[in-house]
Amino acid sequence: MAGNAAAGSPPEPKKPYVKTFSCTNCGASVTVKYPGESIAVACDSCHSTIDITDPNYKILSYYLNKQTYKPRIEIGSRGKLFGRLWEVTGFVVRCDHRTRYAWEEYLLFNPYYGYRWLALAEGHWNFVESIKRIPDVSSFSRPNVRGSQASLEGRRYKIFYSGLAETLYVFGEFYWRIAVGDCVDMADYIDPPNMLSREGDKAEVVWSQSTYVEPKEISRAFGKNVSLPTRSGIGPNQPTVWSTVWKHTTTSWAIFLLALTAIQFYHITTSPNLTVLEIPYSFPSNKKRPDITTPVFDVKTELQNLKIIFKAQVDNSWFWVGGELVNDKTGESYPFERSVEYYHGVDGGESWSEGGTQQDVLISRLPAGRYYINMDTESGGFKDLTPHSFTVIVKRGVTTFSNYIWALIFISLFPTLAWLIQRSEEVTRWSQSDFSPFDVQG
Amino acid sequence: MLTLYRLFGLAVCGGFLYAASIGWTVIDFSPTTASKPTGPSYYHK
Repeated sequence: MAGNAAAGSPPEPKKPYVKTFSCTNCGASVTVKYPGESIAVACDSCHSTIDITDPNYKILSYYLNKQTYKPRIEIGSRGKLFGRLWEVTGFVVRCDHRTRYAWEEYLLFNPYYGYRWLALAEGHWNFVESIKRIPDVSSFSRPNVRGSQASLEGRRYKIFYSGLAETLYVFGEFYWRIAVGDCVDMADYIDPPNMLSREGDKAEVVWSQSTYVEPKEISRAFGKNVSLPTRSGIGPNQPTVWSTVWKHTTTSWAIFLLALTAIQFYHITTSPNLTVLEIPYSFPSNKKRPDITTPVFDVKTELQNLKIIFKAQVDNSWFWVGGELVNDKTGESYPFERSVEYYHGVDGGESWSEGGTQQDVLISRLPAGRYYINMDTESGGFKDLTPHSFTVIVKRGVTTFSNYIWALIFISLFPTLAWLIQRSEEVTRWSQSDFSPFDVQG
Repeated sequence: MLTLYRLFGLAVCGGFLYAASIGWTVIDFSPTTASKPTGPSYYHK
């Protein structure tokens, strides 16, 4: 796909003229529209390719296959792509030599800007331009193996395809000696929406850069002269909406994470965590103790949370407490139940433990006022039948983490969804490749 | 879509800040009721 784009200001256009001669193979009339630029032309009748720089119009290749291909964009039609007017002068069908997977290439020409290509595979279009800078391949890893990358202008392209490209069919005129049956080594490296392609042999290697073109752009450019095939799957370098969404979402997500963490840090450092009551009680072993009432205590500062902590001396035994926090003035109550249990032992030579000696109740958004606690207790599992003690601790304005965790979950839902969808799209994209990073079997 | 997410994220951050200021817990992980214990779990009995 070598091009010869003109550099600098456009030269004066040459006076166009058309060259006509008889096909050396079949004798049909062959017309060359750009004899000053074209080197090879395909006969419309027998599809042989002819070297028009040769005085005897030497045949470059014969076409023996009965199957012919119809270009989807008519040869000679003109269309504006990337702000420039291009004329379709050639049409090539190539395929992978091993799998026979075929694709189409359309040679575009503008006398001021040289040659470009439009490549079509599975309904996906690419605008292809030859590049003179050689991408750096060797610095990352061996070329054409999984994980191989090509680097150009700070962007890394991942290997997507490597194989032998064979020319199946030729139509139109070309700036090099093209022949049916030509084979070149080829490799594609992708970084949507762009792709780098390397093709050539031991004598010459040519690099080109492709940009994905939406079919509607092709339709807009060539109008009624194009018949668009239906797109299949996701193109190698097709940009996807969710991939873009996910990339942008991660930045926003990181900002939200920082903001939430800063707020939580502020919350931790400024929470009063004030102990308003700490009082010990005793309870009989393996029995109930009803009707325990704490002294009335003051809860100051409007609308903060309140935590009631129960600490009990349990050891392979349990302690249960049920009751309510009551507003001394209004009678409004906040019921609760908690069980404190702690067990441990050795089982099969390994020690184990479960539970603990402390439980708490968190009441959120509690108004200021005077409160007391009514409680009943019960216990069980004690081998020592003497009374044991438990402590009630009441704290105002304690630090909590549940809001932080829920906020993190909320802000992570959409990025997670976007990541899952874009990953599914990437799996679909790479399912066409022998170098898929998702293929663990390979 | 991205704008909606940003607005949603701002709302979450704002709500979080407001909840922290009034001591409100969205959903507490520990329920306010508990059944009476029956001893260690079946595995350790």
